[in-house]
Amino acid sequence: MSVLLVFALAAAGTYVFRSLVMFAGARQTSTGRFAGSLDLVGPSALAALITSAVVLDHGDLATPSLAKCAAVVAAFVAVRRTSNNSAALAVGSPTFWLLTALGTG
Amino acid sequence: MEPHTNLHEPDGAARPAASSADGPVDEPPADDVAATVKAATRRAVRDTLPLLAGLAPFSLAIGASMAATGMSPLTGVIGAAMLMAGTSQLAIIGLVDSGAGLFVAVGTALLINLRFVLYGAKFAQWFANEPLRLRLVMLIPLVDQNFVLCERAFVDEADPAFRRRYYGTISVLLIVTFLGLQLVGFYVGASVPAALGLSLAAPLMFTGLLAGALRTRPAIVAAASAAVVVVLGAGLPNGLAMPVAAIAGVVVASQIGTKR
Repeated sequence: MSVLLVFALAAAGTYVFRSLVMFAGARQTSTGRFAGSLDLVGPSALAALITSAVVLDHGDLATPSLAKCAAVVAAFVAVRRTSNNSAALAVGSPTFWLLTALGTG
Repeated sequence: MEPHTNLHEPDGAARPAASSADGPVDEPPADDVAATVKAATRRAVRDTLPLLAGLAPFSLAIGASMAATGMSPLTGVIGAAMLMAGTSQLAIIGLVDSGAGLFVAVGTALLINLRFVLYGAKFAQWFANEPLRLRLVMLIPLVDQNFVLCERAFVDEADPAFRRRYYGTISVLLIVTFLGLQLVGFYVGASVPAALGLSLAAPLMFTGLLAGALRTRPAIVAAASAAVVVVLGAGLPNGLAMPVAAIAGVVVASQIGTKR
């Protein structure tokens, strides 16, 4: 199996996803409940991505490491307090390194 | 924020240029357009730089994964450029390496990328008045990072020139960083100690974005619901838990919102 073929098919399908609503009719999506729901896509997708990265291991539930959880919490608090996205890595990564070094990872 | 024309529209759709009573379209003065574009570029760079710090380790990790599986760097980077979606790219690399079939590898990537339907819906609102050909090109690099930044910025900015430049600048910065550092990761990624937690960079970056996005009750409900569904959906095949959770979060929060 060609890896490039896999990438090409996945890319084509993903592009269809991206363009689906545009062709389905953007006007209909700009009003009503659907439009209101779209504002929730960002928080929902981000939470799903973060939780998947922390608690799933190859799709299965795994006990998350304390270092990972603490890093995510520290990053969240840091950005909330500073309103600066850079704080997520600036605080989260050292938290992870410190706890990993202490053997809690 | 830089001074520029600000045409706020609650529904997020770009407003078309106004027409005079006699018919000809009133074009904004060239100086205004130039100032708007300049402001959009500056703001895009300023907003994107913190995200690049998170994208960089993630890209390095993808490059290192390609090297570890014996994939050629050319194949990996071409694939990345076509797909423009790092999480599903990582999934494909892992699945192909483990001997998964075409259907499983492609299907898994598509399931992971299902959320792009929702991103595309928002994109369709933002750029509703742009020419179709331009929109078709602009859609190619629509990813988590530029989606979240635009979602935040476009609440206050409905000027089409601002939106085009803002989205375009972010996308170029993301593409260059994403592809360039995958190549770097291919050659040096294996020498980076695991203790540095390269794989945690992307979740931390997303955490920063989420922290800024949780400003309303429905948003908090959506995020919490999605997180719960990821846990409940653990074990679902082909990485289905993540896209299902993203959609479930929107549905649950929408239902609760309508009952208030």
